[in-house]
Amino acid sequence: MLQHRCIEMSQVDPLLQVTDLSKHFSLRKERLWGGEPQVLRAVDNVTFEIGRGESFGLVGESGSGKSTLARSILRLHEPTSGRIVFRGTDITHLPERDLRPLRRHMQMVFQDTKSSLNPRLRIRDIVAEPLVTHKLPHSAADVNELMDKAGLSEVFLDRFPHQLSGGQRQRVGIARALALSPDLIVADEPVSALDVSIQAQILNLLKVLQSEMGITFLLIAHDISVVTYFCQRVAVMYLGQVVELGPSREVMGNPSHPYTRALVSAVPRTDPRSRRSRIVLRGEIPSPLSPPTGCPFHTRCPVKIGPICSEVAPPAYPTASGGWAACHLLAPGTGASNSASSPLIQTGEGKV
Amino acid sequence: MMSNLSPLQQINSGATREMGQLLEVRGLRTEIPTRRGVVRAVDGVDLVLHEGEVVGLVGESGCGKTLTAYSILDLLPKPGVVAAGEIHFRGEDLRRKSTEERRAIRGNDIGMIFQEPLSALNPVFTVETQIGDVLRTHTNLDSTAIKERVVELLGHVGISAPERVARSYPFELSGGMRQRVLIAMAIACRPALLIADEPTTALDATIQAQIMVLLQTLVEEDGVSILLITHDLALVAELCDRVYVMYAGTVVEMAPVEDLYVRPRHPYTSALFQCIPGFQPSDRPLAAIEGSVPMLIDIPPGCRFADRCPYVADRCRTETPPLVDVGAGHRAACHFADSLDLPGPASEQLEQDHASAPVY
Repeated sequence: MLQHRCIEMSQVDPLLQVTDLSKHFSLRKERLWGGEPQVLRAVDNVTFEIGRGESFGLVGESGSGKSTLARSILRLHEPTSGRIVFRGTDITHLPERDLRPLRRHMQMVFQDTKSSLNPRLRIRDIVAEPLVTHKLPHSAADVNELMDKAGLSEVFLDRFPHQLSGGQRQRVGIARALALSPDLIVADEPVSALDVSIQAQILNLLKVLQSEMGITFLLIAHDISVVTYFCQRVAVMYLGQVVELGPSREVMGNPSHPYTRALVSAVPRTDPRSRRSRIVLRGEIPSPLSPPTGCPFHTRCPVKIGPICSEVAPPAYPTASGGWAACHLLAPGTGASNSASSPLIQTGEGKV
Repeated sequence: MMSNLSPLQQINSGATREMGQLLEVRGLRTEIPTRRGVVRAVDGVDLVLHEGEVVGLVGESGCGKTLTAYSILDLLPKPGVVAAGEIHFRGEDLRRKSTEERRAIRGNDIGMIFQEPLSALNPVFTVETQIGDVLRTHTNLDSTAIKERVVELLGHVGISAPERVARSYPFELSGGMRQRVLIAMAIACRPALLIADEPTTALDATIQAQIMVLLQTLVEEDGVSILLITHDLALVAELCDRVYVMYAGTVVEMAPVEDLYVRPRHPYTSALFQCIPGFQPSDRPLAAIEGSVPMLIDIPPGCRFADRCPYVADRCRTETPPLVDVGAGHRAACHFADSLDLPGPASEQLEQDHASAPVY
């Protein structure tokens, strides 16, 4: 099966390896003689890898740290701790001068096309800009080819971003990301600002690029159906931590972590006959300034098993889907576990 | 505009009026004058909503769904004007009423929930003041009674610490809390009709689920009718009894929710459904709708979806299809509504996708 091949592939030839990555921001209190600076744990001990040619999804609600994680991987934020290996090179602390040649191979597509395209540049200059920045020779034909790949007509070349529709602007953003023929494209909510019919056009375009050019994708989205459609594997984030990871079909079809279950159940289906009792979580995501002890989800968890949930951070247990989930319910002997499982990866606890 | 209705539609609207009809919009035309000409943002919309009913008004950006709601509420942004049509609320034509009379109805009999809760709330007043304002305008309650009622309302919309939230400013609240405050404000005077414009679009999935449950409770326990304006067909499937699908300023299809999802009759509706990614990774491309919505200035005759429609025929470019009954209260504005066999998300071929969805 495709999914299994991808998992194996990721083990054989990882393009990106992220190990125990954390990104903490320290916030100064607004008082003049305020006490200790507060620490916001935006990303906390995240480990995963992406195989060459794979599309990997990150889902989670706002504030779960998915964008911070992506930006840390691209070194747009300096990681607090952990390790990022890209194309076999440890880039975690690589100085800017050495990082630059590698940056060519990783590009980003943003959500807000209004603010991510320079309003004073014509489309032809926006698309060519990465080539200029990296001092690469290029011709008008190269730009035309990029426009063509992104499904844009050449009539747009001399226009400005504000003259284009949202879908067309996103195509410009994609053409720009393709300019350096990257190995990895990080797409942060690339379709969430678009109407469904336009969203489908952009998703189809990304699919074609992936299959024809073999680009690896890290797709960030809050919309589960977008991630499941596009990605072979998916990681579910909650309060800066990955709580479940696995093949997207299995994770979304048969979720193991109670948070994933609630998230999947919260999404309305386009079938009025399937109105069903959904899991409605109480309350909201706790503040990452003072995350709960133990399991980050225990304050809202509908199936909390006891004090262990609030005291001990759950390790990652393998799930039936071939992935893993960090929940004490999956521990061997609790009845809910689906195999003779032992912790795969030790998470949390005493590492930070 | 009345004369534009087919005899069948006239009979239908006459029949439904007897069944506790709350809102009836007939031939609504909303125009926006621009430098390039008059934009007919809403062009001949008929809409009926019965007591206790949840009706969805769906479409993509620019289809006229929000302007339809604003026309009903008399809140059109300038220079938009209602150029024609009738808006009956409880049998009275709102367009014949004065600005003061309409203001009294708005907020009292018709409540509103807006999309962006932060900009719909005033940042410099507390929640208590803002909900209190609604009560001061529309009731004779004294200040103690108002305070009590505000706390009661906040509790009613599921806020666990109503006293504290009452004293808060909007920026101190999360997105979900702000939306609850807006809902509390909208139902403050026990309106019969609630117009909700994209009430959950800015919210996360788990918070959206909380707000959906709250809206359902208002319908079931308080007997409120809801006109839900949204682009989200899944939200409609979960909440609505009946749906209107809008495209380029007109209603292209109207149906009871199950009929629409099992067998849509308009190619646009079917295409919209197919754009939504299922719950499965797939190598099959999504059926995107190519092209874009036509300009609503100097609209040529014929079907407005013709240029993007995979089933287009010569007739579609010359003759505007009327909204005709295709059986069981289902209407579609397509010349081929009877003959086309269009797939919907609840059709059998797509059943498998949904069968795999987990039930907890």
